[in-house]
Amino acid sequence: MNAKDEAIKSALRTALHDAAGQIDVRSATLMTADELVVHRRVTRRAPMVAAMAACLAVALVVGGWLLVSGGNDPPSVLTPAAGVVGGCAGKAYVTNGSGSVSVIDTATGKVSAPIPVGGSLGGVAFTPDGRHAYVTRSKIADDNSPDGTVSVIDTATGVVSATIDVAAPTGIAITPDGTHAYVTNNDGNQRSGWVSVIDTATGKVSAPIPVGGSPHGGYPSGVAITPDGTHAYVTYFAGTNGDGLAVIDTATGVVSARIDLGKLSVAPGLAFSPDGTHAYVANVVGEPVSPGTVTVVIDTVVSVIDTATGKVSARIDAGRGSRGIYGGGGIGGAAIAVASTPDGTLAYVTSSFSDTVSVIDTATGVVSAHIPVGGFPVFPGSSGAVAFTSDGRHAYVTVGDDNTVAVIDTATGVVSATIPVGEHPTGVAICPAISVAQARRVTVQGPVLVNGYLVVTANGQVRICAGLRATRPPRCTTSALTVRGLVRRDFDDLALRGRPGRTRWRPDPVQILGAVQGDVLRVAENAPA
Amino acid sequence: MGAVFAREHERLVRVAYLLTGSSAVAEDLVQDAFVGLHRHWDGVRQPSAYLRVAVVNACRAHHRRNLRERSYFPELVTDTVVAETPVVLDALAELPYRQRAALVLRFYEDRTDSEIAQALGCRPATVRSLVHRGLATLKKVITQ
Repeated sequence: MNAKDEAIKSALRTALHDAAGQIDVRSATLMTADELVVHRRVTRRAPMVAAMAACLAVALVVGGWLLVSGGNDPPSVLTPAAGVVGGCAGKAYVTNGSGSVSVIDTATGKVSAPIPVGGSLGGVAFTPDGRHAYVTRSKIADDNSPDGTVSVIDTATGVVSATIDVAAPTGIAITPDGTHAYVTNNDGNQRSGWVSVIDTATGKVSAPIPVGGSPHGGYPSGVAITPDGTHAYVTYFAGTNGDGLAVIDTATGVVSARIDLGKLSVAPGLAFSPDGTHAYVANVVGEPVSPGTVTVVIDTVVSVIDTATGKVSARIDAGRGSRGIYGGGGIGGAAIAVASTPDGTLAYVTSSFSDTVSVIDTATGVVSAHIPVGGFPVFPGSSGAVAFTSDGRHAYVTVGDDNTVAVIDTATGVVSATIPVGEHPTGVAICPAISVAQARRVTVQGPVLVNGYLVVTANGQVRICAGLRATRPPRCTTSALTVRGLVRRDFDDLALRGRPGRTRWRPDPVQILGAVQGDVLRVAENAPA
Repeated sequence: MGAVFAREHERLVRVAYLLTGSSAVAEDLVQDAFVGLHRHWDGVRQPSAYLRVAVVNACRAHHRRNLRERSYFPELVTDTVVAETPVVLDALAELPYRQRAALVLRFYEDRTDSEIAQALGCRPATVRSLVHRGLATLKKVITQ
């Protein structure tokens, strides 16, 4: 026996012990003889029946899994389409002006029965753990409903589980740690307007944080929280003196800075780059057509803000040069919004005057495409909101005039689906993926979308990790989950790097939908024994 | 018998899993072996040896049946794959059954030649030959 033989023996020994150690042997107890015989009678099948059952199981597993794929790219989301109950994983929530929330299955595009909330709905945001959706509900004139609320939907049951009194809510954003919701209030008074902060644990509402008022204008609309959770950016009508964006220090609850977006600026929507270095503000600017009126001629631009300096570093014309006359009554709810892809390479801006979604390359600041989507309304409260799926492959855009959601394939820039929703869709949010660390930390109920890096070790262990160490081959950082239930087909589709028999990995993050139990992420029920 | 079950059950399931590649099948086959042991309890002098023989034989029968079924249902080839397996295990699965069993009993269970011979129903010299040929094939596949 030479050294080579010893190496083979040692490799075989290791592989056998690793493989044998991977299975869960049920903590079986010894049955009595009668029980054993009965057990075998019940479970034994004729070989052919067993074979067919096995076939069926394979078909179910394969059929139940939708690999979300764009073009020839390897799919990065594994989504069991069936047998999923509870939680928001794989769902998009769309708020409708008619008072309901439409729930879209992002894998199939199917819309389930709308969730009735009442009033007229505007903004929507998920808590980071995906268990709740917060929607803003404003009073409609001929409605007996309360003045205004933030309604909390339990995503597992799809019913409103809490109603929080907030006078005139429009936009909403939830802090990355999930502890607070920031709500803009627009009471229709140019000189007032404020932000309410909701403690998500207790439902208590803070004292209002004023953002409007002379000389700063009013009508706060958009709100977004920096990825590090330290600041909330709130947009409002700038008035003739300028400003238009207030920065709230989330630790103290006071406006710590104001950023000038231009005189008479209206900025209904904003979003941060994932690294938090830039804010993209959908912004309409103009000048009074005649002195003494609030009617303005408007250009649609995106103001890029360097968050370190608090200065506008660029203005990108996103409106394809189209202009419109914007009536005074429309201020505060202009039909534009902006969102940034999860990898930060693209920003999407909706423009109500050209009825397009403009695609901005964030590295160059160049508008690379104008995608026609249908009719955006110009009247207030019905904005063309944008949200991306957590893998960045699709953008969901509410098209208020058409009562639809347009789904844009971000790889091709083409509207790949048009989904009918309720009347006058306004906001849209897509269930967030949670990190590996979060999945390990919290008790997760129902299926969740876990974001991380996939590593298959030489002995066949499949893990999803919070990060990769820069070794060759890469190794998992300490926070990881063992993944069970992926089948070989999934691995083929995942196009892993590395050689068979060695560690293999995927250099970019994947999102895997499954149930978390302890340190295990189980992506599907195994075929019945 | 409870003591035998407690001592042998889990390890046998793992051996059967290595021999069949399916934990569900492994549990069924081991359960069968215990049923058999119970029936023949009075006549069995070495319960653990009996169980090993029963499990190794049952796994072999499973393979014969599986081969036949695969010719009808080619998709079945993928049914037991839970994860990407290392090359050495893929190669092991391709070996003739007796070579595979000999290697598993030797390198997972650390059994002696005579114990393996008993389980496979052959002579110890044959076991040495099976192990030798099995390792040679693995080496060839891996160094390819």
